[in-house]
Amino acid sequence: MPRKSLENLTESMFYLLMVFCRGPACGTDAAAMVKEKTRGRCRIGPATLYTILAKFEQEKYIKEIAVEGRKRTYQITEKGLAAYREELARLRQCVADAEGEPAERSGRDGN
Amino acid sequence: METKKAKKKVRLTPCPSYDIAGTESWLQRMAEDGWLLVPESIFGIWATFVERGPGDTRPVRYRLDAAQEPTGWIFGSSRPDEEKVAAFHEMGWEYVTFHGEFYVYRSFDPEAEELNTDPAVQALALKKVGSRMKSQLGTLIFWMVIYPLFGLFGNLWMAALTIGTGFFLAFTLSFLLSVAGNLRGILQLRKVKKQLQAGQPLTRPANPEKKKRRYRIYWVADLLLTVLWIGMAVGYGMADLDGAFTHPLGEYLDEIPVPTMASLSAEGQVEYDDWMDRGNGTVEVHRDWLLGSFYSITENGTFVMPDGTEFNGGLYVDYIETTSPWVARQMAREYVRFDKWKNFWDYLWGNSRYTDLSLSDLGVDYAAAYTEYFPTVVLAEGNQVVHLYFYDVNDSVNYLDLAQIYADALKGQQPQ
Repeated sequence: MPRKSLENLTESMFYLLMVFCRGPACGTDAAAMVKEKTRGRCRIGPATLYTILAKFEQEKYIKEIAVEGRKRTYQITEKGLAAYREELARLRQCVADAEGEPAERSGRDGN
Repeated sequence: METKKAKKKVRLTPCPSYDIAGTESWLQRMAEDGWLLVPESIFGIWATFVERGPGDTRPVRYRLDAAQEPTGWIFGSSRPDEEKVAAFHEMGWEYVTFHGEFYVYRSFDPEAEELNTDPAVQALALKKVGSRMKSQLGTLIFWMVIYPLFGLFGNLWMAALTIGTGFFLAFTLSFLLSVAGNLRGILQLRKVKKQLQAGQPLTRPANPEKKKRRYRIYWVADLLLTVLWIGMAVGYGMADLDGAFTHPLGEYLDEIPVPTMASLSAEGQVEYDDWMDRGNGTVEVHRDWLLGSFYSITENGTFVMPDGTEFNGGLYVDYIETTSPWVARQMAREYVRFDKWKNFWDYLWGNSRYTDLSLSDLGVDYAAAYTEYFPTVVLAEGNQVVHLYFYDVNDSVNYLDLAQIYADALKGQQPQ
């Protein structure tokens, strides 16, 4: 069954919340910070960025705090922070679960 | 200095807007062939392209972005908001125009990030397009089915006979085609959304030529049918305004198959009221190749019945000769239903004037009598139907007598 929207954050959503935790930012700056943070591994295209920002605003994860010309600055909210922390805890649990597995096990033929 | 005007050309689109990958790859092919989509141009079933400048061999990528608001030149938005356009531009993408529920962007910069980098987020953006398409389908069904049905009070047989079954067939086919196109879009979008939610990128169509043929056949048929039914409706309206269907009884030379005031009169004489300019002593005739013939006779006047009583009032008779007894019975029932429901709110609140009247056995296939504003009789015999209502200020004529006279007429017997 397909998951409900924002039940889990996608990688792009998670990283965007992460950079908003640093402080207020506009959309394009936030996308650039994500690229820099992940050393180019996670890139956020403009359509993806604006869909996420609209969804975050709708879910009240971020709020618009300033508009300068065509540039809008957003700030993370308590709800957004909670969502980020929850996702972080979930990912930590995933990593912990993976680390609990024997290191070099191939997973094939029950070996 | 003389500047050479760039050449333009118009091309029919090969696929609907919701075929995102198909549209993107077509625009890309056009760009490779030296043609760029004209900014802010109409992009629907056709698109306008401009020739690329000499030496312009820059690689182009076209991408469709699901609009989060209704699009349109008049009732929707023809551009995304300027902040978004500026931000996209900053990231290497320029806005071109809109196509259906999508905004079209292009990039000449090979280094520019893909427009959509997260398939799950793209699926989220498509959700709104899907909702809008569903609401468009709802609107289509409301305006093309529910509203006309309420407007006609379910009087479908009669409307089909008077306006013509040709119109009805063209209208119904056009409606079904529009619904099918809309449903196909909704289903295709749902498929694309599932594909994206599963993390798979959009795939180019496997057989674009076959899809193109099917899509063009679809919209040509849709366009022709729409033009046909609108043309028929306008033609009918104009003919009606010109009085092509309504004739004064005195000038109508063909035989009228049911009694009129003159044939009910002992002396064959009627003194028509002169207070009505129109619709007095007239017959309205419609003939339909599938359903049969319809006569609507309107008379207001005074005449003497064979028993010596004087009728002074109005007599309104519809006579239909259908192509089958089954259709005749359906039409008779439809008359009764229509009269019962035409004052819907009165009927709903129990204030309806509709009251059933008793009838003796008239020896016909179907008979009903009731009073709504006036005493009304509906009869069906074989493939014929009669609906009549009347008023008589002298109160000398009974609906039972008229019911018997018209039942006899339907059975081929002369009025007594």
